[in-house]
Amino acid sequence: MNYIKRQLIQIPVRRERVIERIVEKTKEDTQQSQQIDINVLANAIAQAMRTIPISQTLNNSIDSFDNSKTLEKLAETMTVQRGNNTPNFDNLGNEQHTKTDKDEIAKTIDLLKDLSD
Amino acid sequence: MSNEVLDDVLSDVLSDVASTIDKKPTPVNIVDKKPISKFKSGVGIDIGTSFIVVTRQLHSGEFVHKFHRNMLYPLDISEESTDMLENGSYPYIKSGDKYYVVGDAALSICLAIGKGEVIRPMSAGVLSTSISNASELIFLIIKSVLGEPLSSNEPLRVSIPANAIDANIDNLFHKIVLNNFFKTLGYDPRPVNEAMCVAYITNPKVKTEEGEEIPLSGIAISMGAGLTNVALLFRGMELGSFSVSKSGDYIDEMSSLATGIQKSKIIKKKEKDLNLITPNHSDRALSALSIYYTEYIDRVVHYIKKEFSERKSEISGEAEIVIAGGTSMPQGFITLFEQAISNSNFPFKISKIVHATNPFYAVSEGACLKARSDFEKRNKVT
Repeated sequence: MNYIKRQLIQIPVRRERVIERIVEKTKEDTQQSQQIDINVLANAIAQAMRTIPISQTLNNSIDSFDNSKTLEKLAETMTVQRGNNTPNFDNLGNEQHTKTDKDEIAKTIDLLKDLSD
Repeated sequence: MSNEVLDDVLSDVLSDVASTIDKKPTPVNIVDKKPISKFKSGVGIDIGTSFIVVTRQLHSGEFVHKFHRNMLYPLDISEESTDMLENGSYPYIKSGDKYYVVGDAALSICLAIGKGEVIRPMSAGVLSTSISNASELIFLIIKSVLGEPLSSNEPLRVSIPANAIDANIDNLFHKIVLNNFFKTLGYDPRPVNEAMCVAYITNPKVKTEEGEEIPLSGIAISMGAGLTNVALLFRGMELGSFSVSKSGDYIDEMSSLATGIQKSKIIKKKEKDLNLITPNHSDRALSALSIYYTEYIDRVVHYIKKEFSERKSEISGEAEIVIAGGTSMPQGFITLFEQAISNSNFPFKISKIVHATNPFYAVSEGACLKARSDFEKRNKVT
């Protein structure tokens, strides 16, 4: 059982793959050629798994690596004009004016000034 | 160098300095100075899937908006297309072997030609990858609509959607790209949550059991083309926010699919003729639009209930819901929304549902207010 626990901790893959791998390893280690009863082994593994704390970092779907630098570099390349784009305009957009309650706006700006981001 | 030579040099230098001091100060050439702007410092920008809106505030208090339909229509470069664009004075970008007609002209030409579809450089609230040079094209457009900062590092707030709960859309990259872009234009940019912008401009309130009215508290919703953004806030603090990926574009697409009518024609009908209280079922486009609008409203109410119940959010008292955005503009929208809330066993007590005074500009107005407050805070304006 300790062997199975070690395998479960070390192999960050799906449960089915864990079982396959353990069966292969067991065959190699015991040099058995006969068929191993997968169901019996799977039940043993399922029982063992209930008591094993598996770290989240072992899960492939959760990547704890901070890739913000990559994103920043990629973002910089996005704002580069690579030439060959020629606009025929210099002042796009229609203009519209809307009235406001000046006092209400001033009050809201005062409230917002007191807030952190 | 001898002392005499040094004395001569010193004497020359001192006489030059004296002559400079004796001279009367040169009058300041007012014409050369940058004229005082009619705008207050601090600009808000809403880069939506459907429209780009830039808002500034005049010294008189009024808001001035510049808006541009965020749409492109590709045309192959030919003698015929060149003549059409030049003679019609349509705005376009020449890129590689194509012309991209921009803004309202894109929709007009698409409708006139009657084939193909308009392209959105943004999709589901973030930069689209549907055309390879989308970001290059949209930055040329934004730069033209926004213009230059009033001064170096003028505060700019750009509205950013919250991450969607029903789709795998991450806004982080979108946020970084826009931030970098505005910095290159000379602004001091910061993101601001889109739904919170609606709250800043409409100031929803929670009325406590003791009768006290707490400002900037309640639920704010921005209903855009790509996303619907929702925020729960209390005293101006965002307690939780999320977005729903099926919004105005979804309504258009589904109505187009259901009827076989071109999407650009559906958009035109929606903006001109749709009434949700008395839907015109003799018109296939309007009928489909009203059916999908009802589904959309029910979906938004469903997700608000689900999200805030799961997060165990609580509001003590009666809260206002404030709504804005282009998708909320058809006649009868608020009535339909009120009905959906009252039939939904909503987790909060709602005092009223308020439509923003200018639903189309509300996000950009709210972003402008936040930028104005940044400026005043930075310059210690009281």
